[in-house]
Amino acid sequence: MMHSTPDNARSVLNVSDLCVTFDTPDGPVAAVDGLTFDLMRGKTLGIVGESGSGKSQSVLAMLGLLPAYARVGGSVCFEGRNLLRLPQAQLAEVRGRRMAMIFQDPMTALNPYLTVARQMTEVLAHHRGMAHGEARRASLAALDRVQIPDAARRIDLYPHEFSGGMRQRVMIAMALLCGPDVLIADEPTTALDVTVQAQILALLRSLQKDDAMAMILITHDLGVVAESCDDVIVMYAGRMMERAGVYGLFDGPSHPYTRGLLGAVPRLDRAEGALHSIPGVPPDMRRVAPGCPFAPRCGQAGDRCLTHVPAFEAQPDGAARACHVATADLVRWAA
Amino acid sequence: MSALLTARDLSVQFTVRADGRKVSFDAVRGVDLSVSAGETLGIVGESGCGKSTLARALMGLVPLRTGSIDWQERPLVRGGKAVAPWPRSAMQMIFQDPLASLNPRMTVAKLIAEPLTEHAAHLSADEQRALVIETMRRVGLREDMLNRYPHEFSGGQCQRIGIARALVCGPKLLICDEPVSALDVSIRAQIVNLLMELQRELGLALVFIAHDLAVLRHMADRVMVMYLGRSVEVADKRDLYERPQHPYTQMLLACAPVPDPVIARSRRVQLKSIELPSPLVKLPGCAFQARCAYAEPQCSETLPRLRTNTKNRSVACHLESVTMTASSRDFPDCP
Repeated sequence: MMHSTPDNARSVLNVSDLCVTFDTPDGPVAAVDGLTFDLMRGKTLGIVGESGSGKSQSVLAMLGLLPAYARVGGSVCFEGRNLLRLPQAQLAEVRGRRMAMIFQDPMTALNPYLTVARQMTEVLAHHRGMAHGEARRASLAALDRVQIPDAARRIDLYPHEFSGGMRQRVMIAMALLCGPDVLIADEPTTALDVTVQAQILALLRSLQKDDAMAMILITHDLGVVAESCDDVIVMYAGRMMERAGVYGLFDGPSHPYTRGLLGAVPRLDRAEGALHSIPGVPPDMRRVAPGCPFAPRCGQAGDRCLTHVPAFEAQPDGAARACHVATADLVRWAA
Repeated sequence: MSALLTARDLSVQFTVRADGRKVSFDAVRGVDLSVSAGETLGIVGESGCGKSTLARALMGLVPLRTGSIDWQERPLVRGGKAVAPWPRSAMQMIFQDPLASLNPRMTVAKLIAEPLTEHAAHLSADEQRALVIETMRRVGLREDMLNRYPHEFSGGQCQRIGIARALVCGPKLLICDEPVSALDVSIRAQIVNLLMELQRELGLALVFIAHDLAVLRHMADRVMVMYLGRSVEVADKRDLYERPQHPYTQMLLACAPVPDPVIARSRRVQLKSIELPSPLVKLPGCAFQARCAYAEPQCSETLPRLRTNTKNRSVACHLESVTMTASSRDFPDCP
């Protein structure tokens, strides 16, 4: 039966087989290998992984923000154009205006020498060609929108005069100035206290709802994923281990790494005692062994896991995973 | 159980320059605590609440304005001044940033043996080496790592080196200042389990400082909640998590991320932010009043003293109706 796709189920960003390789003195290092996803309008995709899993490198690659010695392969399609092949001038037009990014540490992302007003109006003058007065009014409205109290006075302050949570709100306001279709948030609440984190996540959700903006949320915190994401990609050593809807992922993770991660998180609402820990350490990306990158730490790895990289395959329930062990044979999941 | 460490009325004053003049404020204000042999006291609070300063005060690393400390029922500090040599070999500390707390130019062997040259100088070189190797084995490091340098290790392994340094003199009490906050999820669980195992084997007492209530739920016997330098609630773990009494504790629990999408999405969060007041501004009354959902006129007039209302349970709040009826089901909106 044919029926029209609802508007909010439209894909705004299509990433296919994204690979990032750095040429280092120790030889080429594959930081990201084969990242593939569709980002839907109005939805939040979480990319979760530990340090070195390639989650930040992937989004920097999508926006063309990696240094010249990085080799980027695959495609990143936004409105029918592959961003990886786009000339700098056109890419600069997309970046900041149609796709915006917020970073973990607002203090290093904002310019300490310029007032908030100056930094915000600059964005509007550049992308929208606004005159000074108009840009200032729009900036003020943006600060109001992220619930900064007393914005009319504070717009003329410098970044260091704001608290950590307020600085993050300033950065969000700046990112949203041009009404982007895609917002990429790289660990936006990692540096914040839990009370402020809860506010910032709630703020991002409400702003997203207003504009049906799509969001990529990079985090190492499964609590943040549970609260804010619709779909989740779990990365390990530059590869996708599992991709699933958020309820499915937490209900019945289908990859041993995801199971391990969920067991390792201390929980407020569960019995105390020893945590389930994943033995060993993440691989040295300069010397990745053949086979599944997680195999050396996986309790269920067989001979095949040590020699053959498992393909990333769709599952009957719509999720996808890269694992040689059949889902039915995975060690029982006891959350 | 006899008290190992008892502290009464600890205050630490810092002087900072604000608006061109010197302002003094108490980073720690009149804190009482005691730790028994073999138990874990958790200390939790947001950035700037004075928890790290309190840890340093307990180690004798910052001058005290007021207070007394007893070690094994013998006076150590009276009126803010040390009256006996600090029992350093019996009290050791573990730090948040494992790499920064290790001298990059020393090998693992030297790093772990360093405390022995001060506290066990009577040991021969061979005895020292044997003790270093035994300690390494205990924390999960291998003997063949003896001659490596800190940069050759991952964050989790550096933290193991830090723990070995603290353990080598055979302490009775470890003061752990956010020892797992900088580590990845899977590694964090390893270190939490290691500390709990060491505690069981060696009968160690731990003062465990964290901003993460979930970690303390796994580790602590009792938990102290700090807000702007003061202890606002102290309780046995089960009581604190199941029936938090202070409105601030309730707020912290309500905001803590939960790795379960159903629970995480059921809570309501206010978008409007009330910022943490500056510790430099001295206001009468309860320090938490500005953020408290229940504040009454008396809260802005008199400071609520920490009072013990049931066995092992103290809370600093005027509002008995709030503190006595709260359950984990009816937290106020966060924050």
